[in-house]
Amino acid sequence: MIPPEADVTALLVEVANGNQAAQEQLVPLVYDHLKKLARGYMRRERADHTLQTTALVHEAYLQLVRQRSPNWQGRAQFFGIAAQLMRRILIDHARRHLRAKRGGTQAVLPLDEALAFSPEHSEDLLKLDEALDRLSKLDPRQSRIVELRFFGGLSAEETSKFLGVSPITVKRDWALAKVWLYGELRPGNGDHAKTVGTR
Amino acid sequence: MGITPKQWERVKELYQAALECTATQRSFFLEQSERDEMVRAEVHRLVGVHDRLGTLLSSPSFVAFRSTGANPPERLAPGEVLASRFRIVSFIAAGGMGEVYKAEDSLLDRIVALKLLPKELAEDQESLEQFLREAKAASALNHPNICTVYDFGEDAGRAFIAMEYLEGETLSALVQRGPLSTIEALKIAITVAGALGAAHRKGIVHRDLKPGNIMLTESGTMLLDFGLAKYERPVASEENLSLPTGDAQVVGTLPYMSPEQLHGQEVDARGDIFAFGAVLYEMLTGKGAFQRKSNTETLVAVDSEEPSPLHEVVKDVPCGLEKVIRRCLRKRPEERYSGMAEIEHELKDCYELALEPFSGVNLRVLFLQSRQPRVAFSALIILLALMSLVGWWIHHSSKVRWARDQALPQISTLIERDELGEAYALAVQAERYIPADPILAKFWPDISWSDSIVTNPPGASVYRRNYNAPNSKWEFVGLSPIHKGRFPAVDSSWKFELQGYTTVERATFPSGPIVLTLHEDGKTPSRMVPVEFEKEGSVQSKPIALWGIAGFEALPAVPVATYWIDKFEVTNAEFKRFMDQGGYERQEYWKHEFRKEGRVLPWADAMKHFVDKTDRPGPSTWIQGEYPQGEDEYPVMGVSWFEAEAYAEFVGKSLPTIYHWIAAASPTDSPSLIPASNFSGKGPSPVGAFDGMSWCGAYDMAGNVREWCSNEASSGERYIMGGAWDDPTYMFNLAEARSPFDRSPKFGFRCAKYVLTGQEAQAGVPIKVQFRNYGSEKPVSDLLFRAYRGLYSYDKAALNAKVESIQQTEDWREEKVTFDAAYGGERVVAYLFLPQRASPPFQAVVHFPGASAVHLRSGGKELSKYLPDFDFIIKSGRAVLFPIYKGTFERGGGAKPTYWPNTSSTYRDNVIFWSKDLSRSVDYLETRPDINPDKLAYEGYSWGAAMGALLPAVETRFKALVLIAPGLFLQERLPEVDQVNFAPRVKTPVLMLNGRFDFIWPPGISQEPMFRLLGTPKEHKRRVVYDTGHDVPRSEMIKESLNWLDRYLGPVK
Repeated sequence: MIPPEADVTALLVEVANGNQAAQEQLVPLVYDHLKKLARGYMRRERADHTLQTTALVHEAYLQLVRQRSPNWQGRAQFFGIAAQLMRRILIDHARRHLRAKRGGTQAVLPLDEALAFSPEHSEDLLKLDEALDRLSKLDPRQSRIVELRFFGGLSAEETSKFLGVSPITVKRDWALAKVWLYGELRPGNGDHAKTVGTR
Repeated sequence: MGITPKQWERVKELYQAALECTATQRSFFLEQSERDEMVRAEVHRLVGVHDRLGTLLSSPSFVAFRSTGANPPERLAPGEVLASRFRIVSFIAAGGMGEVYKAEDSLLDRIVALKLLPKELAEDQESLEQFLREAKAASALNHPNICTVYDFGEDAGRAFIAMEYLEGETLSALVQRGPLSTIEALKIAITVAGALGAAHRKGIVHRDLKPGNIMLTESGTMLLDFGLAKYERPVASEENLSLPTGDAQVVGTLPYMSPEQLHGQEVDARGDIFAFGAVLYEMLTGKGAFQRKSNTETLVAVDSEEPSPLHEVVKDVPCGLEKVIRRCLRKRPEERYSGMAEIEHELKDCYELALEPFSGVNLRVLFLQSRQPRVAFSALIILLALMSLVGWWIHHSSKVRWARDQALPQISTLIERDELGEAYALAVQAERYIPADPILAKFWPDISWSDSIVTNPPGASVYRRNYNAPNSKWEFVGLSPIHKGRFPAVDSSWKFELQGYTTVERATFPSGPIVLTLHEDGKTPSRMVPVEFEKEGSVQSKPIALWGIAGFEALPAVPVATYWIDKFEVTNAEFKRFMDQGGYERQEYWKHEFRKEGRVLPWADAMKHFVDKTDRPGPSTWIQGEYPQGEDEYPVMGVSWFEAEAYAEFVGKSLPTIYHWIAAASPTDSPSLIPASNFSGKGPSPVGAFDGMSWCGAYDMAGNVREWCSNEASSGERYIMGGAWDDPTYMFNLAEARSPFDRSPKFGFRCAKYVLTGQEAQAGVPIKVQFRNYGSEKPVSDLLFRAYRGLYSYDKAALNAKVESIQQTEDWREEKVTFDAAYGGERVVAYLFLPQRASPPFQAVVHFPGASAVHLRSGGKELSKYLPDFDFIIKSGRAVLFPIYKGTFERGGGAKPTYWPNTSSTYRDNVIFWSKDLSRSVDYLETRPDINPDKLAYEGYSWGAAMGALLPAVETRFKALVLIAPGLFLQERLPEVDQVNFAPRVKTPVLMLNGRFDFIWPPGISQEPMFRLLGTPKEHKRRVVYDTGHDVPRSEMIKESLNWLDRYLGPVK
């Protein structure tokens, strides 16, 4: 059941105004919707089970929100929330997939803007999730940036406005995060820390 | 990791700088800047990772990685043979379909491009079969500009397509280097259009048209990847990587996807046309038509924004071309071209036009470039591409489902709960999505009304809002006249505005039509509203009957023409002006005789009566000739009829006659008006403070203070109407007559402007109405009663009953029967409804209709109008008998009997006839084997219910009485047909359902005395009062009646 679009749009405006209660109302709406979309995707009779998270979020956005009216703020709010939810959904999928399938080759998880999740990436995805959790303990904002851009598909500019930090900060944090995550996901991959130089 | 957040912050700070150092500088720099070894180590580590990832990291969008070195297991090596036929020569790229190789076809001895499908696709049987079908269809495309598919199949778990090997540059790479000239672009476009058109004619849709799928080779422009877009994985190609935007969110195919594709709908040829337009745009401008900085924005742009007009971006664009592009890029597929042929044609025209200046010069477009530069990826790069959103229902179709599956049942429930305003609002919403739905169509008559709104002159702005809902906003309805407007079936307030004319307010309860005249600003008496009547679409005078005032209904109607009446009750401030200008001193204002107790008082003496609390001239509530401070806008209170008349004389108006007062107040609207008026019991309010506006726009006609009218009652008394703030609400529906000297604090008045000519003079005459006062009346003695009762008896002769006809519906079987009346050789007609859903012998209920039965002549057809009064009884499994009483329906003829009692013998005779008809009907029922004679009840509505206070005292075979909206008649009648004498002798269990705002039988003076008088023991008497007028909410009626019947007749088995 798709909620009437007015609800979501109105809620988004509320959330943009800092209304916490509205956010709480919005989350289940969006979550249900994303889950449904995700399930639909997975169930398709196509061999290509690639789940484009950003595609999903965008689709959910189109379906839930009246594009003509919301200001930029509204979009950012939506994607901000959706990003988090998307992550949860994907991790669930990954866990379930790993449970069902024993062994088999696991392919490499590519890290890019739009997380392309295939069942074969489940292991990496879980690792990513854990890594992000670790990162959030070190630097919650940086972790959030990754979440927004990976899972939500926000641009650097949108992210910077959403979080209220400068675009430079976003870009730097993002670049470093990618490096760090890569290091986390491929620890034994010939990248021992090279201590260069001696004293 | 062990590192702390604080340390991490430091790492971040240093990392940036460290990146900019050379390897040798780095250690030194770090040693200098940071003491914490952990931090230094971390920075080193990260920089190391960064270096290894190399240039890929500087491309802002992508980080790709895979396990070092080795080919993924699926990658084929040169020399491998597929399908015993294709020998791998080299790997070209990760193309649209997994991977693309250059291979040798040993069978046909040629070089082919071999596209290998993703493994998962090949593993899924159904997908594979579908893919093969599609490939087959594509292979049937034989066109010079379409990349030919030679063969397809599977081998060793890999599915493949063998196609024409092409060498050249993709259009996207070309456009990368800058926009094309018009001629170049047109040449390519025309070719592509031709190819697309050919495919469309064969029923094949490309689905993924984009510059990356258009290749410019030596032999011409080629279209790739036909119809197989569905099976694509998001893939990198150089076009995506090299998009120059700063923080490239590369979207891949997104900017070429049509809006319907984005929404997940199936794409047809028109989707290709959209993509075609986007490609053409890009060729000419060098940028995408919808390319934005991020996915989100691109998405929104495709869906709802128009690309910048061509002529703003490029000089010298032939305008024909711009039109073509614009039409291709229409958001709605039906607005685009329907076929490529037309586009091709128009493009060719543009091309010729563009060529003209260059005639004679042979232009050749360079197609061939160096070999497609290969990007050496050791990694698998996954591109951000919005993949097919195929199969998602757009929110519109889900809206349609919402409308059908959710809104419609909700509307039905709301209608049952009588929440018509909400039902209407919901229906309007649903109508946006399912306008032609037949179920929705059936709702409209229940929740809306449709009629005309006409003003003279026309062109007024018409506004509507819900009545008695001051917070609801005025909705603009339109400009008058409005014919066949549709409005919700709720009480409404209306406003009519026209420049230069006085705004007019009206109310409808709930429906119109509305016909009114607007009066020019200068010409409107101030603070007065026009009272006009509508008949057949125009303003006319109307015969006003005193309908809505209990006991006055039977008085003859008087024609009343348009007049003005004060919008408000006369206020303290206004009355003060009268006083200050010598109102109490100038005899010429006091035109009436002061008759008191038979004597006529001289003016001076009379004036001594009209003093305030301090014995100064003025209203009885004033002090020292003044009213309480701040109460300018309160109604003047404590004035006699004489004072009111004097004031009216002073201002050049008149007290309204009772007809004028009633015509403006419309007491039959009491259920709507009373709740919005001041009957608060707390005190008077400033005029207009309450929302209760009468239909014509006057305020406080109900409640606040009572208002004097001009008519004399009997013995010099004058009528005072409307009720006051501390009166019971039914006073609005009663005409009080009081001494003209009376100056009770709740007496006030308003004025009117009218002229009485000819017939209308009747409005001003004295009106004498005898009212019954049940407070003091006593029923006659038993002896006398028995004598009266004797008048009703008859000899039980044979009935000679006959069933005249039978009609069957799904709920009942309707028999029209006739039998001998108890008098005069007449036959009684009766309709017997037998329930389908029960088995005989049935309980039976005898019905007595409301007064309109007297007016209707044709029985059978009109009967259906009365069905709602008892159909629910039949559906509960009981039989209903509807006798046609003498003088009603087809037994009418001759003079209509009056249902309003009077003291004539005719009336008395009629009541006795009706009683005999009733008893005869019961006699008839006793002869039917399918009726249980021990389980009979009487059910009456309005008139029939009032008769229920009399008839069951004579006819005692009923076990239960259900009376809907009854009361004691207020008119005089002969004692032998007087409810007062019979009610105490009714012993049957009786249920009374009343409306609080009943204007025929008001609660205090009619309903309550009836309930008290009924002789039934207390525990078998029940009365329920609702907030309605002269009726009862339907659901309640059904509930209470059936409960009552279950209780006293027993439940139906």
